[in-house]
Amino acid sequence: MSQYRRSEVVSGLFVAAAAIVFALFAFKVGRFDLMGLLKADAIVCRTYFANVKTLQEGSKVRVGGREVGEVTGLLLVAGAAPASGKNPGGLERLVNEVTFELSYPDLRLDSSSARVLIAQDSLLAPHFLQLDPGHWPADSPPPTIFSDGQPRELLIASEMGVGIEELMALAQPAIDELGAILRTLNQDVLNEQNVDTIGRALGELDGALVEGRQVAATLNRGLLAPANVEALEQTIHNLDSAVADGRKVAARLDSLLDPEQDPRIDRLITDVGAATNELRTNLDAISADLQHLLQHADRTLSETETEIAEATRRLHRTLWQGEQALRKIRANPSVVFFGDDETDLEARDVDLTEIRLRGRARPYEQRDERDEDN
Amino acid sequence: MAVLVLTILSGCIKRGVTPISTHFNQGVYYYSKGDFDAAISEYRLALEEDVDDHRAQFNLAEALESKATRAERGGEGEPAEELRAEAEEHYLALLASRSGHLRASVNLAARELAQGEAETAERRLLDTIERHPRSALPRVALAAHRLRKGFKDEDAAQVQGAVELLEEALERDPEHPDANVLLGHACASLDRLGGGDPALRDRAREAYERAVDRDGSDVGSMMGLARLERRAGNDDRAVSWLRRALYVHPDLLAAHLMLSELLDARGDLEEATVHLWRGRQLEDARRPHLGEDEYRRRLLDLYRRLEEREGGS
Repeated sequence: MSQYRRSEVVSGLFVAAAAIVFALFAFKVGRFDLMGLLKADAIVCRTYFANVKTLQEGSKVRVGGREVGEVTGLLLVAGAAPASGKNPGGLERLVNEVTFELSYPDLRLDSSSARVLIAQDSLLAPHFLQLDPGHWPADSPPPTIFSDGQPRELLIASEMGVGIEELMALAQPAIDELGAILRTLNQDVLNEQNVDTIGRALGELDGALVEGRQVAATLNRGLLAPANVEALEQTIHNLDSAVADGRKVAARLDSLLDPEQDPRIDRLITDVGAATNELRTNLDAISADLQHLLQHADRTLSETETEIAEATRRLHRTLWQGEQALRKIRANPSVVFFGDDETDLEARDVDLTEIRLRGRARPYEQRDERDEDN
Repeated sequence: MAVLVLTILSGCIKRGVTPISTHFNQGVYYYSKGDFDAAISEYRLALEEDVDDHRAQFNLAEALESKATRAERGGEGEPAEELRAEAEEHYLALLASRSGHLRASVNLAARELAQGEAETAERRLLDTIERHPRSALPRVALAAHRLRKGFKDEDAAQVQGAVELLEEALERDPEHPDANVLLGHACASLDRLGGGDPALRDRAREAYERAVDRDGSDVGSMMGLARLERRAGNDDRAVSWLRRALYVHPDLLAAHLMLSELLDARGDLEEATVHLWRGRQLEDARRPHLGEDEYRRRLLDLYRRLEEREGGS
């Protein structure tokens, strides 16, 4: 045997390797899991998701963070579409059928209450299936998955509420109601007229604020200017001083006016009282004289009132005659030196007492000869 | 200084400064002087120049009536009646040419009343009031007639009726001088008849003062105010009003007599004597105020007291 040459052995090994590769390739193409023969025992579970996100074959299945299996298949199949505002029910859609195997021998499952959902440890971590084994009474736990009599294939319900459509189905009525409210708000409250009114009011408020700021600035500059503030402070200080001085003076006066301390003040007050009475008497006499004087003046004024009134009337008449004289001079200046022979024919004042009492109409007065209409 | 210059200028031009040349204006001038003949002549000339001059025609009629009144007082009854008849013709002619001529209607009513046709006169005035609802004159005229009757009979109801008419007239023309003066007379009369009511006196004073404010030469209101002040005991003010009236009309007999009495009461005997003398000179024997005997008595009493004051016996 040692007679075989090395080349022949290598060739033989190469051929065997190639045969093995081809066999593996054939198993792979035929989807025969050769390694599955070496795998431990597992049960097959199936569930359906609308969206599997980044879940893929080989993704882990975990219970409470512990790996209990893996995803073995993902298929799109026809399934019942979830009810929503757009889909009242009875329609189908494509859903993801996820097949996974559970191989943890101590795992117990209550197929009625078990749930599976797609979870993610972090935003960048791959998705995995999180299995909730369900719940059961403490005195009757279900057997382990590999126990005798346990089914080898299970259908487990998927956890709802992670998809957008499910959220939308829940939120749609509220969204519809919100839409109606917004429409009402837009039509009745935020119409063009109200918006204009609000705009104008805001403009006026803005103007008022500007004016208010200007007023405040003016007040600040004028009244609250440092100089004025100083002056106010000084005035307050002066007032304080004056009040303090006033108190001192009052205290001093109080001590002065105490007859027990100094009887001279009391005597002085008595003397002043007598002087006051005398002064009052003199004032009464002066008042009487003044009254008499005023009466005399009133009488004089009454008597001269006539002269004053008559003088005024005559002055008025003289001024009018002066005006007429100037007109005449302007028309004929020679009258200044040679005069004229015109007679004064202005009507005199007439006593109309008798005409008046007899209920007769007074005669017409002289009319302006310059007025052609007269 | 200006007044002095103007006065000198007026003197240089002698007497005439007013542009009065028309017959109408001259007629008014002569009427105001009391020269009724000259006035009538000028008015006739004015009518010859312009037949439609209703003012000249009315003034002519008024001058004829004034002349007639003077003639009556002079005892010349027949010429007076002719003059009044001519005046009436002119009034009727005015009413014919200008229907409802206000002044002519009023004066015709006064003529009818003087002739004893009171109802006709009142009807004419009421028609005039209807025809001229906004004019004060016909109401004033009717009030004057009722007032005169009320004064004569001392009938407060008549006087009160006149007051209402005058108030209606003043609503239309608040400054109507005749209405104000007559209202003053009426209120003063009611005050006297009613025994003294300060409110009526104040009302009378207010009316008189309105008339004086309107026309500073209205002696009727000045006399009324003087009487009011005297009745109220304000002798000084009464003296003042009387002096003012005499400035306007120096020959006002009633003013001289009242002033003489007031000055006598005040102790101003000299001036009281002067005014009493003047009154005596103005006294018309045909319409005496005091009578010669009373003038003599008062003058002698004044002389006696003057003598006593001078230290005589």
